[in-house]
Amino acid sequence: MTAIVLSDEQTASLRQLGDALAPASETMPSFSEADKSGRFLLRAFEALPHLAPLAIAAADGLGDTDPREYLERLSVEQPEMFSALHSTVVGAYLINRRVWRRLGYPGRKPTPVLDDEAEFYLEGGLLDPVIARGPIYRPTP
Amino acid sequence: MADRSRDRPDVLIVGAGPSGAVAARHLAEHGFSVVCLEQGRWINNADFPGDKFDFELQALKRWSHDPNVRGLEEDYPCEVSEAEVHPVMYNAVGGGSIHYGAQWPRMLPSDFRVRTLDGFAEDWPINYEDLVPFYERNDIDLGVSGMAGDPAYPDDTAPPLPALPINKYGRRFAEGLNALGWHWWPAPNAIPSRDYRNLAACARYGTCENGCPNGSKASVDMTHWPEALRHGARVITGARVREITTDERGLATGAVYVDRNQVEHQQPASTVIMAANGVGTARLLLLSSSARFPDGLANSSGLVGKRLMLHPTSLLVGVFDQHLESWIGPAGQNIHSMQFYESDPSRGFVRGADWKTMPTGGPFASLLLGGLDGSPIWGDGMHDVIGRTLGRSVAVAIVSEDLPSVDNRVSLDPTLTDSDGIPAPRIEYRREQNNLDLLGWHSDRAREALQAAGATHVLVDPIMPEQPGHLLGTARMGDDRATSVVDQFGRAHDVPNLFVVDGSIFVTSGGVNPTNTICALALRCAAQIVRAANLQPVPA
Repeated sequence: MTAIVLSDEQTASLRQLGDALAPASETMPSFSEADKSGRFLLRAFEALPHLAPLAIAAADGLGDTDPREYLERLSVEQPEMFSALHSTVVGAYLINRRVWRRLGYPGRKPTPVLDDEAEFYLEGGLLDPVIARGPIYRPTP
Repeated sequence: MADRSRDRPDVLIVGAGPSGAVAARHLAEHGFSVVCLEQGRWINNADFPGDKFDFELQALKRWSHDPNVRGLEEDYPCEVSEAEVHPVMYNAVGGGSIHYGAQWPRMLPSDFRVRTLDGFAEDWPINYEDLVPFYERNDIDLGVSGMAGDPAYPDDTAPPLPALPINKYGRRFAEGLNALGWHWWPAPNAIPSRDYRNLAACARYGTCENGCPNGSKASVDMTHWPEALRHGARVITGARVREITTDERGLATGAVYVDRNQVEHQQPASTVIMAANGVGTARLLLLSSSARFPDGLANSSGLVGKRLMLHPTSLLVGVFDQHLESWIGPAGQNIHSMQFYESDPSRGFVRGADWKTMPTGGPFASLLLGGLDGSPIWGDGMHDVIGRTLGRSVAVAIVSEDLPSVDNRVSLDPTLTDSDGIPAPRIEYRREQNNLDLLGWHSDRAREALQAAGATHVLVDPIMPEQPGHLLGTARMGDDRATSVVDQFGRAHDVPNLFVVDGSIFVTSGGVNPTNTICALALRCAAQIVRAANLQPVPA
């Protein structure tokens, strides 16, 4: 796999677009605040290499345009390019543990089944009415 | 071409997925020499992305369900420009079980008698009761977890392991179904709730459909191939079959395959078993045309490749005010409902569907699901969408019965090839009105159930274009050689030492995930090969 190498201009454009795609809110960091080193964006490019040419082309097209206006137009006129950019940049934002913490998301981690946990979720006779109604299948004629 | 003629096994199996593995294990355990040709490779559980922080992105490319997206060397492309639903598959030892959700429902008695009961399609030449012993055997071999007593089924045999927890979100949906007086039950999964043989107890990563990093999901590379190998079976990986060969008597003599160094080999065999899924098997039979079989091998009926059924699936997502930990697995299924599985003429369509709850995933999946109603997936509104959906939602998948049509089919594409220059399959698939009506009606009922459960918002994906990857019907079984490709034991009517044991042989699709039934059929076919070995014609 060929590593993605971004020019300074492309990096700057992607950060501008990232901040428009994933802006700061009262509780959430912006894209560039969350990924100051650019590590997560590079990881997203590694995971989605098939989208990289389109995503980078989208960044190349930004120029001096207002990022929000540019994205609005891109989403209508070039939806495939917008989708590639969105998956890569918003994807990079949402694999970031700093973002996860703000979302209250623990990430994928082992959650072993506890003793009696299966029974716990069925407490209160949850299945009783289903059993009481009896069979619902059609037998082999 | 390398000649392996001094090494002629009793059985050659094409494809190391669930059906091939089940057949290989049974035959090897009964003393047959078995060679399996698999174009993919062995996969190490540590390679699966489920425990990696970038899982949600890796699932979109390297671990995508779609071979056209994955684009690995071992994948072959599928031409899908005329396909409303795309076939998905995985090419590796373990095949589709690498990527399946291990949802393990059986088909129902009525599924085998659609013509008799509903006046559509055809009856199977076998019935539910014929398969029960094989369902039960496979439950044990795969370590199935579930709860006996489901009133949707006639039998009451408990699977070997207790059911997995239905989790907070499964319970929430169950409460909605109870409020409406509708059926549900803790759903069966080929995922162990406790350590079982060489499978670890489920750790509920919730990433089953992209491989289990915990070694819990019962993929057949873990459950069957080790046993088959222990009994002497051989798997040749990186072996892309391009033709099944035949002799002057019309018997199968083996297969020609290309290895990853582009070297062609002839692998002879006394009996050939096709287990390459409902797309791959049809493709290979069509590729194996000859003067004797001008329309493709085993295709005197003209039905090879036709009647493709893909189980169109709708997805509804209920969004709740409460936190439900809805990223916790298995995925897998928690509960299922067969309330509307059987036909009811008043609905205006025949047959039905199975509903099942699943986790909704992490932040990126939650964003995309939250955007199904047009909510913003970027900009200022994005955070609200994620906050509303992440951990607070229930996915209800509706797997629908897909009636067979000869217009839905696999053929050979005239221009597209795989990396070895072998013609790729061309998929033509359109849903018929019955399925459109069925899924629309079921989606309305599932919405009612989610609302009864307290959902504040219900999001709908009417048809998932790359799900569920159930590849069925392209070499149907039957008693009449004019209207079917194989008999009830998977033996080709035209080629007495050629068998098909994968999902190709389904007559109708049922409305449940099919791997359980595929494996039961494969085991039944293999058992018959053992029983009839002394009568089996073989090439000279």
